[in-house]
Amino acid sequence: MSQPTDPQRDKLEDRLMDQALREVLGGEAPPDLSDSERTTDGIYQSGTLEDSRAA
Amino acid sequence: MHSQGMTAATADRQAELAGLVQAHQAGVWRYLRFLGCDPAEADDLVQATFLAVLRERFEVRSPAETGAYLRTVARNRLLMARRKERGAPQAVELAAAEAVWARMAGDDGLSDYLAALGDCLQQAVSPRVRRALELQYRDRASRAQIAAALDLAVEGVKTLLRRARSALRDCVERKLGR
Repeated sequence: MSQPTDPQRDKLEDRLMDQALREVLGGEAPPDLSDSERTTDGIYQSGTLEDSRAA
Repeated sequence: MHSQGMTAATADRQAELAGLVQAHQAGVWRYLRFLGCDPAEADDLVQATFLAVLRERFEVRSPAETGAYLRTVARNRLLMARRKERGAPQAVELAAAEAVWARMAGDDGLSDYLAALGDCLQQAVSPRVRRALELQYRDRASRAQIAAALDLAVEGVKTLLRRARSALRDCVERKLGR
C-alpha cells in the first residue's frame, strides 16, 4: 500500500474530520441494516443465498 | 423454498453473517462516505459488500483482518460501480485514502475517533469557534450566514473553520495516540 504524500494526507485527514463533524454535529449516521428492510434476512431471502448454495 | 432448505449449518451461517453486519456495517458505510460516496450510494454499496462476502463464504477472522477485508470488498464494489461513470476515483487516491483510514479510524470503524471528537469539541476550541462549527454542520448555515452571526468577513469564516478542523485533528490524534 503506497503512502500518501504530506499534502495528500493533510487533505484526506481534513476530509475525515469534515465527515466526523457531519456525524457528531450534523446528525448524519450510518444506516442500521439490522433494523430495516435491508436485514440479513432480506439478503438471504433475496435469492442470493440460493445462488450461493448452488455455486 | 427458503424455509425447506434451511439447515442448522445455514442457520449458523446466517447468525454469523448477522453478527458480521452488526459489527462492521457502520464502519464500512463511513469508509465509503470517506471515499466520496453520497449517503444513498454508501447504503447500496454496504449491502453489496455484505452480499459479496456471503457469496465468497468469508470466514470471520480478527477484527483488524475482517475490517481490512471488508474495506477491500467495499472499495472494489465502488470501483465496479464507478467504472460505468466518468470521474471514477483513481487507484492512487484510493490507496492514499485507505492508508489514512487505516491509521486514523483503526479497527472500530471510526467509533473511537468520533468519541474523541466529542470530547475535543468541548476542550480544544473556544465557544465562539464551536458556535461556528455548529452553524455549519448542525444548522447547515452558509458562510455568509455564519459571518453575519459571528460578525466576521466571509473569508474569515473559511479560515476560522479550517483552523478549527486542524485544531480538532490535533486533539483527536493526541487522544487516540496516533
